[in-house]
Amino acid sequence: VTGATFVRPRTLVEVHQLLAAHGDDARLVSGGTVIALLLRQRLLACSVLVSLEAVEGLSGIDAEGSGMRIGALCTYRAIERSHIARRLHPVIAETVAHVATPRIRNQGTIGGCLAIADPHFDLPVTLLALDATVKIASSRGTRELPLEALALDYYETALEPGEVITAVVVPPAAAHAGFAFTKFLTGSVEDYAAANVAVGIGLDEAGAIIDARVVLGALGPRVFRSMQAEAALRGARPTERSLSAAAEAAAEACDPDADTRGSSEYKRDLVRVLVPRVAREAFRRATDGDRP
Amino acid sequence: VTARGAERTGSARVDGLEKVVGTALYVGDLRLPGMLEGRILRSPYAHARILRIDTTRAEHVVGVRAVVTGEDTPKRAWGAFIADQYPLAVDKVRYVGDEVAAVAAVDADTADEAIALIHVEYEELPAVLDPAEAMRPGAPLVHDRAEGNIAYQLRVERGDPDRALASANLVLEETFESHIQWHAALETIGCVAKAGADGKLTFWLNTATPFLARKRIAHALALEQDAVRIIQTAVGGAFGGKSLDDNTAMACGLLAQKCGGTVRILNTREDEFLATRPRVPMRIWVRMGFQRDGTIVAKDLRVVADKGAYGAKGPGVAAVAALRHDLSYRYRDLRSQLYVVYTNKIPTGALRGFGNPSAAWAVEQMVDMGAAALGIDPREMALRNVIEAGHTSQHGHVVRSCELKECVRQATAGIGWSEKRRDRAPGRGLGLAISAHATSQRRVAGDYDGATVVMTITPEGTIHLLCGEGETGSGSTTAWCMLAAGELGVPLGQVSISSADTELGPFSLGSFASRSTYIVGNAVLDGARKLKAAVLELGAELLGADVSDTRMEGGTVSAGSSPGRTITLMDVARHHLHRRGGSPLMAVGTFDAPSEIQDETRFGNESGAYTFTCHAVEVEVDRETGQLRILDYVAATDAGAIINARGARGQIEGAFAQGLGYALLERMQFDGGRPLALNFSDYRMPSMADMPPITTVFVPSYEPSGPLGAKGIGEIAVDPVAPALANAIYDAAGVRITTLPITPEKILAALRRRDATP
Repeated sequence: VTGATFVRPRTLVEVHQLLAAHGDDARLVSGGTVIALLLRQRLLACSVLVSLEAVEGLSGIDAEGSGMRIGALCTYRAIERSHIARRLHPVIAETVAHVATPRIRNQGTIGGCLAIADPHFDLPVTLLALDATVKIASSRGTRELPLEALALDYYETALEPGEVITAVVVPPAAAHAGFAFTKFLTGSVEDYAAANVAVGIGLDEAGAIIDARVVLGALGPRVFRSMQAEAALRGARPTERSLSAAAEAAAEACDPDADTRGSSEYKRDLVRVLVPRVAREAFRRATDGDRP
Repeated sequence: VTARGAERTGSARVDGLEKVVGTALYVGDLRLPGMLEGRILRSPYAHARILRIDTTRAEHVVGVRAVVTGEDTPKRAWGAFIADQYPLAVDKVRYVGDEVAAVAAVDADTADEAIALIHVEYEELPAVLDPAEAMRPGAPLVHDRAEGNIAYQLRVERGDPDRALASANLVLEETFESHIQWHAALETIGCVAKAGADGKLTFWLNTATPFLARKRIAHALALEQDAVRIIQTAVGGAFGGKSLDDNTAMACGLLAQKCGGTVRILNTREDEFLATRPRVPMRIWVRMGFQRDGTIVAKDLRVVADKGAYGAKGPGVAAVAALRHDLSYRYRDLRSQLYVVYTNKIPTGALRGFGNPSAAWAVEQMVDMGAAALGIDPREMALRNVIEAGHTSQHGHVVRSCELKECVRQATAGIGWSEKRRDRAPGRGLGLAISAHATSQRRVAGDYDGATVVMTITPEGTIHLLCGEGETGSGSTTAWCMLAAGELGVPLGQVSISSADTELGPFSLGSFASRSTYIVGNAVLDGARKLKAAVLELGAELLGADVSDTRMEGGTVSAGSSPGRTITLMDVARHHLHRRGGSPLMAVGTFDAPSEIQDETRFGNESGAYTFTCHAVEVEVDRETGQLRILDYVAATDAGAIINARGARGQIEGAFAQGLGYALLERMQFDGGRPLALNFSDYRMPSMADMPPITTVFVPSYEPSGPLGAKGIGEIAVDPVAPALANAIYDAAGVRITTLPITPEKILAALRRRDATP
């Protein structure tokens, strides 16, 4: 379809060599669910497709301490089915179950999902609420980057030329923490969200909120945290007032495009309704110790 | 499975195995010797004059075999009802997607490369993109001959609607808007065209209407009809979109003619979104008068339909929207006015449901509004007003079978209507809507609305069917084979059917207007009965018995006078053929529907029979977000006697899914006349995961003119989905949505408007 050469290196070293040799003419491909569409619609041109499929060391889901490492090549489906992921961070499996269609979940990978940096994607929203980081490798060495610093804009990341995402690390959740995610759809269940909201809540021994994450997706050029909304939630148990302050702050922080899923005003309205709903659920889970 | 058993449980598709394992031959599967690939250059402008086309560079691309433009055509306009489109643009382009030139090359990439090298100089013209704007005096004309951009208009008055409205206790009026929905058949439109040395063109075409295709191609390319042959390939879904209203086959034929070879054009998805003939969008104003007891006394309707750039089947679709729904209720006084308006957008045409879904969207909401205003249960409202068998409508529809009241009763019983209305759950609501549909339509080839089937008992004892309607994916061939098997008492596996071919098979009108089961089914029964009579006669001869003493059962013939002796169909067929002066044992089955040619006011019985339905739905509305959830759905249908229960249920569920897409998800949106969605990421349709629970009920019914009492079933379940949902939303949340599609955002906005009104 594309006329590009498809190469399947077996080691990261080979990947780095190929990227160095071809520069901008080379593109990494893992599941290919996005790249294939971009090439087909001629939104992307390249002469070499470097497949990560056969590269060793990029798969597997492992417990690290009580945290978790997810190899970049893990498919959505592998994550959804992983006992480790379900035990340590059930909200991830809950999120992944809403991604696109089963066929895409069987094919799409977590590394590809993050590297594409499409703000409509679901999984980054939850990962951001969990303070995930990404492991990155290049011929110059490896580094770890907070997920929050990865996406810069629509389809733009902080990845340098030659860098490859090798894994995602999700730190252990605090003792009294709860997470919840909602994908709000205005069209087909297989469509992108009109708004994605994830909330993380951390409680002190007395049950007051000492830590909060409010993450918004499909509502601007990148998946992002609303610090003001988080601040509004911190301090006590959620009240009508704190929830609506958080909702208002989150809505203010959004910059949604109007599209077939709704006008930008409507999407802001959704944020006002969804942030309190998701925050309540996260608080309930934190309080009940309920890991969905 | 014997045919009789299959009638009860339903049968698997006779074409199923080939399609499932991938051996059925679609246009994309064909590989003919020397076959080239064709591509079409389309207009990037909504309205422009073509000043100059330079194809020199394209012609010099290595591998290019032919380039055609309007100059290579006879410049003959063609169209279903109005001859207003050229195979390739002449002088002007009228919508984004209009065909300007085409290239045939050794492969598709080379053709694409050449297409990009065709240089067209355009002078952009002011475009009209909205029907209201197009009708205004002084608006730019899409076609110079069509004054005010009116492609077609109609005014029909029966009885005295003004007097009746004046006498009504309650008169309501409202305007409703429907939108463009796209067919989205799994397989795109395409064909292979081969030019013979004698100038004859043979097409392998994925069409629902082979003979109509032949007629249109012959006309547009200035050929005799006999110089065009259409061989129907497997068809991957048609939904009204594969009846040759578009120019793909024309361009392909022109390329084959020019290079004297064989060329395939298979539309890309982008071609399909740009230049097929999607559903006609309408603005429908309704005024309706009611008596206090809920009796509907009169209706006044005005339809403005956006035709897009060319006629296609638009005028017919819009006329159906203006009139056919009227046969559902016992109206006396009616007025319908219709304006079909040209704009510089994609030409709109036939899509499953034809004009019925748009009419139901408006009228079924209006009836619900009447019920609400009068404080009457919508179920009682429907039962008070709907027709029964024996009714003749004010437009001349003759209804021989109608169980619409029973449809209303069973749909509402199925959804738990009365109990749920009694014990209301917050945020939840119930809605219903009805529809009536034709089951054959238009006597297009003279005074004829029929079908013919050539049936043969082969020397191997197989029953072979040959007709011109063919299979478009709806399961028609399975129903016909079941009818033949049942009538002749043989297993379904002993019946086979060939695909349509305009040279080998009998003339056909085609597969459209829910006519296949009803019309062709009757012809199959006629042929089977003729074969049976011949078999009995020959069997009697072979048994040395009297015909009156001879019986045919389970595919064998026996006589009371010689018990224990049986003769098989194979024996009979061989006896008929392998003898001096013998011939294959054949019969020609025919049927012509008891319909009439309508007059210029569209008075007359347009169809041989009519199908009826009532859908009932329970929804839940989230008042904070406007989100809609369908909790339960029941479709109760009077399709006469059911031939294949499994296939019939599939048709209801499939049409419901399309109705659901029409109601909630699908829409073609435009920017300056250019469709915004050119792929399935941007044009969302319901998926399996979007389907709510649906219960399908077939009410007992028998159509006297139908095959074993059956009527058509392919379209009707699209019609009531949108208004049933809108009525349920009103019941749940007290707001009425009048424009399609129904989105959560519209529901939320309506809730806020209502809350803001003191």
